[in-house]
Amino acid sequence: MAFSKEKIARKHKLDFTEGKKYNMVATGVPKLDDVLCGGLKPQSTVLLCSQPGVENVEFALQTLFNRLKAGDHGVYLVNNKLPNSVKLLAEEYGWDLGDYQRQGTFAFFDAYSAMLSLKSGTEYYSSEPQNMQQLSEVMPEVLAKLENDNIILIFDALSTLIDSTKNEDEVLAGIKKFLSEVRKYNTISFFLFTEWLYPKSLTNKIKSLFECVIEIKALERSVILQKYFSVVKAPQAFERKDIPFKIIKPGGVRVFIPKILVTGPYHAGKTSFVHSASTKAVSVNRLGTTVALDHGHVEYKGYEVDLFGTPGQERFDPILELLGGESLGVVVVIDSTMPKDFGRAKEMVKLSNTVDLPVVVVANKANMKGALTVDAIRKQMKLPANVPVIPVVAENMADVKEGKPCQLKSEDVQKVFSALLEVVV
Amino acid sequence: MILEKIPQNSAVVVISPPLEGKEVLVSSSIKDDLKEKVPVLIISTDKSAEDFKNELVKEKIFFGDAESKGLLAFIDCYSMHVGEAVKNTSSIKRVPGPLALNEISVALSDIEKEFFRKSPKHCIVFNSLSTMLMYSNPQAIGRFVQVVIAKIKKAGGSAFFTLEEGMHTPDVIVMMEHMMDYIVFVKRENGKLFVKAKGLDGFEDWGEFKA
Repeated sequence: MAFSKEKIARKHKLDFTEGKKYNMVATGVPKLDDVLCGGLKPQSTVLLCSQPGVENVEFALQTLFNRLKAGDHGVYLVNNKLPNSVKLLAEEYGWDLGDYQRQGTFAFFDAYSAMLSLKSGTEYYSSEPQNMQQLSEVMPEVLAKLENDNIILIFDALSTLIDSTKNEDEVLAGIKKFLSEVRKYNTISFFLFTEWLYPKSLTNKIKSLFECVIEIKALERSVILQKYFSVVKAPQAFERKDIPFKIIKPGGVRVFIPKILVTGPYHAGKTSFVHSASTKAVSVNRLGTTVALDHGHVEYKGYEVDLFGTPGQERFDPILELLGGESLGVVVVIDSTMPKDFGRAKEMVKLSNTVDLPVVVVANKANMKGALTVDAIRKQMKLPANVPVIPVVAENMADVKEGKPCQLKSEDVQKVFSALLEVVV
Repeated sequence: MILEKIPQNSAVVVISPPLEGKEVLVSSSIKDDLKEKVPVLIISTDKSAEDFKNELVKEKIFFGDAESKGLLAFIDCYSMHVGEAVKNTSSIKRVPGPLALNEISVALSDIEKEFFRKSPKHCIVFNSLSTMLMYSNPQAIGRFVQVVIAKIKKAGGSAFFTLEEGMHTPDVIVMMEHMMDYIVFVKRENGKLFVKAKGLDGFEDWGEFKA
């Protein structure tokens, strides 16, 4: 989806002129670069602060791999597991760090083996991993060898470091010194931190040491229902919002929208839309019409979206509210040639109890005789200017068969998704 | 039977000297749960998931298709820690070691989510806390256990932690006991297993345990 800095600036009354002075470093984590207005500032220090039970390593690894691919260098300091297990984890996501290790543009820094009195198998290691003073002296030597315009440094994990020492003030002073030392070498530092019931005062002090803080949290009832991340602090203008995500293997961090309702009158083309948009889809049909629901899963530019399509016939109205529950947005599919059904489309949004959600109107059959223009549809449906109306047509009219979902033009479907993600995320 | 008297949704620590019978009690609990189709997750810090399964079989606990049905799962904190290049399976999640606390909590959350869909109750066996205490500051493990117990209880589960007697200072034992609902002590005498439990009426004194 196109990143709209201007749109974010307008919405939040932000001034991006300061950010323009810098060449922002893109993380490659979907949506994160958008909310950071392009990415991270060079030499910035980032705290990836997660709630227990929610992943944070993947955010750092994804950025590391994307930056290595872009020609940056990297070093991964690990104090809670063997470096090889990080490498194996990265491989599961499809990120082969071995190539960069062989090229000499990436290295592990082993701060774990010494904790177990083991001999390290890596070139760079610490004999006193709990001693930040020592790390502050050794790390610059590593960074000097890795010299580059941008070096990504990952510190996995700050919580382990805090857990392993008794003097928290000493650790905080050590981190401060470490950060000031490493930034001399064009590093962007990511510190992984899990909030294990530390005193609030300690957590606040830790957050104050970093220029950028990204919180990774979960909506939890009996179990975790939804994970999301948000930027809560950055040196440049940023958009403060919760981005739902999930982690997939291979792939990594994906923005995840668990439910988008697709509704609209009978025969408008809902099933065609769900099937055309989805990488996999299933419909409960009888005699060529949906009698329960359509379900599709969409993978689109780092986003994962689940679509739930409703039946259009009035006899199924009692299940609309059930299908609409917990949706994050609505796609209303209408037949552009059937203005008499537009009222029914609005009624279905009301019945599914999704009136207040972000909505995109898909004007299907836009190339057919009698089809209304976008403006005419907007006027007739009394849609506000901020509701996108996207005309869509069949890929090939010759393939359109009564009672069968047809393939919609993929560029039209992509336009719908761009508009949808713009309003939902 | 002591295990039947422990209420659902409890946190229990089972304490005994090494090789004195904790395993028998824990295995017996796993057997009872699987028999009732209650999902069981075993978090193993001192042996691989495969070794744990072998031990269950040795204890004559035959779990049949429980694994394939998603009723028996493992978080293996051992194999990667000793450098084995192992992969996840449908029932075994490997985490890099006993100090990778966030990875353990992520794996636990993922598996509990699956269990929650299958059953209103489940059981988490954490074997053993002593390994984690060996590698980390007891305060840190205390914070971890506190979070984990809260998560398990919220999801409707029960938790069994094992702890080796004689390996930790009394203040560490007291801290761990403080977070639990029941403390079960196990000892072996003349080839027989005896148990007693703090906080459980009728089991405050030593009594013979029969699986």
